[in-house]
Amino acid sequence: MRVSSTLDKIREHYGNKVKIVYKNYVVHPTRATIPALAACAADKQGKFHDMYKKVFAHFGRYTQAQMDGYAKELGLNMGKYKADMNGVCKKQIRQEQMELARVGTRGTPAFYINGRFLGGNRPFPHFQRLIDEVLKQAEAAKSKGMPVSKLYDELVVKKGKKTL
Amino acid sequence: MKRIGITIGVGILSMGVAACTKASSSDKKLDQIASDVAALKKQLVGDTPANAKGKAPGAKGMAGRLQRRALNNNTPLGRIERHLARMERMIARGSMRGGARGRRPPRPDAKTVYSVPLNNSASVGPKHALVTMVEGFDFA
Repeated sequence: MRVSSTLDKIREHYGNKVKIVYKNYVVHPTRATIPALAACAADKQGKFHDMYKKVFAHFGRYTQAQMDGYAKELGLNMGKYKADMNGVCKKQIRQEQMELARVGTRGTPAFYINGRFLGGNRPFPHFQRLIDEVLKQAEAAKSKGMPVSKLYDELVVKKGKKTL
Repeated sequence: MKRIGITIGVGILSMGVAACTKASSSDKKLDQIASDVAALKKQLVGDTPANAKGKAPGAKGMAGRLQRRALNNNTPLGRIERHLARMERMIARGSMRGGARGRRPPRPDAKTVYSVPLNNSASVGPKHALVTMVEGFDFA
């Protein structure tokens, strides 16, 4: 939860310059799988962040009934929510876990800021240092004519190291 | 010959443990293992033909039984043997703590850019931004 407040601060400080992408890396499957599936299913209806906040606000041992209750509170289509939880989300969570493990993630929270690794629950200044550094590089690329929509693909996905 | 081999092996190992113990005398774990090795050495060396001279005839039989038991991994001696083998590897690496670190998986390098695809993962913020942060998280 503490890192969640740091991320809020980052969004507040950098505004539209920063996008945050959430990928599941389930370290504690008995506890974290149900909320991970619920948050994924909520995302399919555009409510990921609301579900994420709700789950972390009631930190503890999560149950399916509890997650269903949150989904109802958020006004989700329950049929689609349950279908996504039992179908596409299971596959997506496995996929995300593999993507992160391939580049060396071994625990959470783990951050890749324009592909640069920052591990653990760090205070805002640690993020700020790295964000400012990669922001400068991104702005330099943009000034050379690279569209913002292609920055991540060109600078990170294509040029980045594929495995640890 | 087997008994001599075991005796030499234990002797070499105990020298290694002694050297390691000198390097980090405060390490309680090493001390404990060193005392285990000393006890085992006493048990085995005490039964070599030279030492068995003048002893009861049952001494030679005991060494044989120990050797046979050592072959069986489920016996306490087998566990000690495995423990000793692990110790040998740790000593070869330099120290107990160094060895433990060596087994940890490598971490990503802070200066390297890693290719993390975004695919259809959940996100907040603009569709495209100058900086994209990927957070690996779990609800626990």
